[in-house]
Amino acid sequence: MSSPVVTFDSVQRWFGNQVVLKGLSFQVMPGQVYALLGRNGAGKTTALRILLGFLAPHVGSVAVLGCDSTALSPQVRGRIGYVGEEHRLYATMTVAGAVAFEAGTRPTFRRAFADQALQRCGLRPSQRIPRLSRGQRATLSLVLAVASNPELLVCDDPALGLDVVMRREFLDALIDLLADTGCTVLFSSHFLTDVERIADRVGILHDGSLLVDATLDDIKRRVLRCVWLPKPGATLPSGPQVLRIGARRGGHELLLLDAQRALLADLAAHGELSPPLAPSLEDLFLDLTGPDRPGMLREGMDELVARPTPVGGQR
Amino acid sequence: MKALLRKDLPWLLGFLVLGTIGLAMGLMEHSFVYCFVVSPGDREGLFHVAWSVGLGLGAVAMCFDEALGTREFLAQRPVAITRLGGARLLGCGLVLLGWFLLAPLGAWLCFVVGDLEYWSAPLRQLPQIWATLTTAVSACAIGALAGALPAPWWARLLIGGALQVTSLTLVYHLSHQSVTSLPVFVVSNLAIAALAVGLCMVALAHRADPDRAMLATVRRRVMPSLVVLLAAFFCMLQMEVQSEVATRLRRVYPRPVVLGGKVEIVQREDYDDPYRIVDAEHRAIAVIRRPETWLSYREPSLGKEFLRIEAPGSMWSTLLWMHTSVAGHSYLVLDGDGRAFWVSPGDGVRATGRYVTHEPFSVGSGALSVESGGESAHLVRDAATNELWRFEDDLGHFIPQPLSEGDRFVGFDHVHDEELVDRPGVPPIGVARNGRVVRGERFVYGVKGGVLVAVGPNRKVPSVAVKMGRVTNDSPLSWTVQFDADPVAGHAAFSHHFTPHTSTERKYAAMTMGVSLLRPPLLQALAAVCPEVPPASHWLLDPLVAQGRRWWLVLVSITVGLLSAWSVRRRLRTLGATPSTMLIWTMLCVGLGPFAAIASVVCERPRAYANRAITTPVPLPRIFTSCSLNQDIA
Repeated sequence: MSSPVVTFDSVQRWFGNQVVLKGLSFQVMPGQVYALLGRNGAGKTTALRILLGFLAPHVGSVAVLGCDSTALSPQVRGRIGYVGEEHRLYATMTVAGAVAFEAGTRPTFRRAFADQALQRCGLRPSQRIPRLSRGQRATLSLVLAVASNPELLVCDDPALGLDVVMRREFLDALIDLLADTGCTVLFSSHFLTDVERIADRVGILHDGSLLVDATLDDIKRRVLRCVWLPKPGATLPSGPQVLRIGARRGGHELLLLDAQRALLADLAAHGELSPPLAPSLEDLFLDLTGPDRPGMLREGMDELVARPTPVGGQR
Repeated sequence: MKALLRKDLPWLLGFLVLGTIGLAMGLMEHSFVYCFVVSPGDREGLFHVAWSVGLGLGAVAMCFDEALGTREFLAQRPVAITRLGGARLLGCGLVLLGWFLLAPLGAWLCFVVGDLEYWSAPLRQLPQIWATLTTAVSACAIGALAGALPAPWWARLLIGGALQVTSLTLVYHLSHQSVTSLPVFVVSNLAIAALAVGLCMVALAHRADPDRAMLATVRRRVMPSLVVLLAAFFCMLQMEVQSEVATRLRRVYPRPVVLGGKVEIVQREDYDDPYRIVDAEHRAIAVIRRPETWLSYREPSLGKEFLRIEAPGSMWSTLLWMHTSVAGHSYLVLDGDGRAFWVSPGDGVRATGRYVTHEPFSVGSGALSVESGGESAHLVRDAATNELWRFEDDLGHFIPQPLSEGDRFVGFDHVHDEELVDRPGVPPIGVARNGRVVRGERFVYGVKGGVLVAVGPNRKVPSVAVKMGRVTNDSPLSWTVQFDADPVAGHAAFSHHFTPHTSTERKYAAMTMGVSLLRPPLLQALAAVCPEVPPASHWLLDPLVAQGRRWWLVLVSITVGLLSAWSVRRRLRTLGATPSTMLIWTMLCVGLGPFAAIASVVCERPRAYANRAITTPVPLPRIFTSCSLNQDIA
């Protein structure tokens, strides 16, 4: 088994009184496309900045390509590509100038690949950077990052601020480029439909630590959603298989993890149960991190599922 | 490196163009002759533009990506931080080189376009111009160092300003000691630049984390030295303030004058007010229009001002240049090193000198035009031989101008009214009142027929020397002056103890002593036990407490230092600092007083001590897939 490309080990980081990361741990394996999800302020950008060595973790450590993130050598940096949230480029340059700058500062930069990719994306070399639309800047940033043939591509919410069409085009470009290179990708995003298209594995970051760190296939296989209308006197289900219970039209909406047949049969016996379905990533994200779902916070989950609701009776 | 320079093109070009324009304008504050041919005395404009643009260049070079928001975009590429810094410094070097070449060229072109005759003039002042421009080199390095410091912007701004002022002061004091100061000026500027560049490269490798306390090694080894250096700078500032206030106090003190055979002390509040005679406690007792004779004495001073932002140039000349107009439209210029030039609008600048070979005069020679009876002669006194040389317009060079036999040159002078009255007989030529003449040991000389002619005997009586007062118990704020009875000046003996009496005097004295209280207690104690503090050390050792004077000031300083240490210790304990940290700051506060307390507040921020580490283990994610399992499946 090959060693992970990225390893976050119990990373804590705070800014003054605000604790942003509370012990973040996860790994990204070679060739994997890992999506780091979370609400605004969840700590995604901080985690990526720590990974790239722009910030140092206060507790814990981050290893990237086998090196500590606080002491990345130029050689290791050369193996990492980065697309920032704001797509910062030098405003005085043209597209050709930006390509020349990358070529001059990255020894592994593939100029022919970049020219070809830019042509495919409809970017002309003479276009000035300030004249580019946000989507074009995002595409240019992505092409420049991928053209240096990185082993790890880090993207911090690269599609932020793009309209639906531009986002789709950007995503297609990303998929195309990834198909060419096959590098490991760690990216953060708010667009869960996009994540579902390209990610192998997702991490849902909430309140400084991960609520979910699993492959998409695994999530689809293990998490089920169903509506349950209990009979009078039935008690709410509890235990590690129940992720969330929400009220819905006189019944309950259940989010189940690794639900056993026995549990489903028991629920069906004590009420009316809709066919369990795998939730979409967006539904799962909302269920876990939404503002009206305080019970979904990990610490309070067990307490919530054990509490009887007014409609329930003795089972 | 080329790619890095290319991305810096906006500021490189901006500074090159704007800096060149500014420096060329600074050069052009003088005429062509005083810009390129002879020393103008000083080069204020060029000097101030040079250090300003240099400082800006260095700071912008280091903060450009930060200001643009591209710092992380740049930092994530495989380029070593030293190479990034090196590229920026190389850019600065190229701009500086451009300034050295283009600024004089631009000024020269502007002058030559104005008057084509200047194109062939000798550019003898280029070394001085380039020497002045080395200020830009040191300022640029200081700006780069300040910009690279791992500190908030306001701290970088303050430290950069303090370093720049200190650097200019240091160079001034180093290069103002001798006439060979030009190389000293250049070398000291370049040495400062080299030191600042070295420190800049060290600073670039460090990043600030306001959530982390200072490293123990930095706190123990670097920080105390830095605080002591800044405290020294703070002492200089205090000295400047004290000196200024003490000067104001001396101005409001009454002055001794002779009135009716007695010595009185008089003062006035404003220039237009009449003088008031005051008593021993400076209360007005009478009003007079004007005193008969002023008496003088050497007032004790609080030491010379130390901080200097002054243009070089005057220190590079042994004598001030002088010029004199010839035939109403052209003029002669004599440089400090004895070289003479004849400047006329139609003919440009021509070298001239002694005889047809245009031999230069001795270093330190002086020139003046002598005017009498509507005629004028243009003379140079050779410093080495004390001989006079006269300029011949027709010949275009200087020829010897002997005085009457046996007479020796004394000086150039104005003719005074009493000499005109005293002159016996009819003068051989008409010397206008206050006309300029040459004064020999025996005769006064005017001009007739273009040559010097003796006008009459030199009857100038040396002015009566009024004895100066003796100063005893001198201290910068209060002293005693004694005048002995003087029959020449016509006054009796007099003594007065100057000490603050009026509210204005007390206000200035209190301000001076108030500044003293903020001085480092250690230095105050040292000053108090020192037998004598030379004026050059007044910035370091307070003259107000020197030689055991005003012990109470020392005691209050020490008390202020101890209170600062106590409050700092208390604050640090609340923050959770280690005992060694508290010990370092306590010692600094006891030694340096309130300044160290301020420094501790700046350096030891509460945020750095807010350790918010979570010790309880974070549970695994609720939905988790093992990486190894995933890998196996893949």
